[in-house]
Amino acid sequence: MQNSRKSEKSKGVVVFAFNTSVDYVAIADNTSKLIERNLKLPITLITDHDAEPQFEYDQVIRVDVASGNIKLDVSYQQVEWKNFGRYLAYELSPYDSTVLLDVDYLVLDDSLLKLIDLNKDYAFHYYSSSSNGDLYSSMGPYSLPFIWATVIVFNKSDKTKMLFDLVKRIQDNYDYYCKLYNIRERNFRNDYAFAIANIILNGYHIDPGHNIPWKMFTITDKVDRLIVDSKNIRAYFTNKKPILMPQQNIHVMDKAYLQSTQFKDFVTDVTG
Amino acid sequence: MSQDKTGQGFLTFAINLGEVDYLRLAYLQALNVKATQTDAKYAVVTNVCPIDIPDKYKAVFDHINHIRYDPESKWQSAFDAEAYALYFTPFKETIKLEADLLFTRSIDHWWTAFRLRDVCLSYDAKNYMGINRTIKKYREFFDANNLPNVYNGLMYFRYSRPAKEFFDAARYISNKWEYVKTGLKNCIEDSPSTDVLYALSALMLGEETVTMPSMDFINFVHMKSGFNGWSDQVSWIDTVMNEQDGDVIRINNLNQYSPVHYHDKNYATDELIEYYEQRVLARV
Repeated sequence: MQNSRKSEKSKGVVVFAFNTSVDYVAIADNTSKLIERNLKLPITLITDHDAEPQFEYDQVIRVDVASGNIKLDVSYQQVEWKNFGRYLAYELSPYDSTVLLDVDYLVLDDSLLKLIDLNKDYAFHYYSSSSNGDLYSSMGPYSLPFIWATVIVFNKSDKTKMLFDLVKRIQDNYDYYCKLYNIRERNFRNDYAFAIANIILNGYHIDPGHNIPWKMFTITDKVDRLIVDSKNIRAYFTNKKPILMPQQNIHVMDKAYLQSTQFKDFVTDVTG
Repeated sequence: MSQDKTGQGFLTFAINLGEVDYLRLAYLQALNVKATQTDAKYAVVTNVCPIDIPDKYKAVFDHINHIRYDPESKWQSAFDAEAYALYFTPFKETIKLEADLLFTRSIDHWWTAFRLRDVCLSYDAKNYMGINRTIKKYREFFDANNLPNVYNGLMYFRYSRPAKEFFDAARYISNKWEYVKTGLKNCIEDSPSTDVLYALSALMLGEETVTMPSMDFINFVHMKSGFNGWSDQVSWIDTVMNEQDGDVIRINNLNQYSPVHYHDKNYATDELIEYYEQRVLARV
């Protein structure tokens, strides 16, 4: 019998978007439409003071964020990357249960709702696959596996707070942790910071209990078009043959595609 | 064979024939056993003369069995004596260890599992991430001859007739090696390693009688670099961090809960020995 006195936990999605040469806020506006349709949860945007979001978010929280980080995009060009401060999600999320998403993650089914129902402290993907097979997921040849911080489902708890506090500590002392963990790349990655925090928090152990129990599907190639068709997704690429896959959430690394009219059309098609 | 065997305990062979001082490794191991196991007894079989054994070693070893290794003796290699482990052990129940293996927590509960067999060899080995692995390049000979993937780094035997038969088989194979090797594929070993001897003995007596592969916790972390996915040209000690945290050994930021076969003898530093001396003193 259900406990009628039990208060309902608030649930929602949080996305971070800080514009660089890439219009992450515009991407967030579009991917939020997919989130709204498939999860039917309120969405909070965390962004900077200059952003002009168009989507009707539950809340828009504006923060100062440090710049100075870079990464290579899918064309192997160096681009600015404002990915610091993800640890703020714990304090800033207005929800008891939060789905923290990167803006390049397309929510095309409701599987994340089932993760919230599992009521874990937190969970993220330990593994990701692509049309080329499983993706490399080590922080370096002499290091440990990283996790994919693209999707983090968390409930507010003492353990989760420790996780995010540790991520802050790792971000603040990133050179030290790079040396300690034999990390090859020196640009800050949330994938690495959360992986290290997860290992420390679980007693210097890779605890499989925080793994989302399916692999994330990532598209690493340059995308021409995505089409949802009879519960399948067709992905057309610039430099390789198209693929057909069952409709599922997908992580799209090609930011140029996510800013294109083709992507807007895709979102319109999906959301009706 | 001595009938005067009591209780249970740990046994290692420390035969110094080259540059490595195995008795020093045994001393470190004895300290480690005393620090991590409950009321554990430790015995060593060594060719080091008793008068040359430091007093502090003698204080930690519960039993010292001295054997002669000289040109007139019947043993030619360090491994020859191990086939006589059943004779040398002072215990009714023995866990025999290679000297370069350390525990990171109590394995008291393993004894209960071991008692399902008269002899139990550790099966497979883990990498430092806790994953059971078989590295083909180290075990090509085993694969070619369908030998069970056993390791002599950690084994159990009870003073019993089946255990005698196991060691008799090992000695028989060792003595008849020139003949035995003619029936083996890709055999280039002039004298068999202990792993090979025990694998062949297991095959003779029935692999299922001397192993328990379903109890996959009865093995150890093998720190040979190639076993962990790194180049064999560089020691794991120079590849990743390691530190002590109480009884736990942390390697590349991961706690090791299985026994650690550190392999590179440079791991046994004076500082590490001092660390375990302090821990044993603290327990006393």
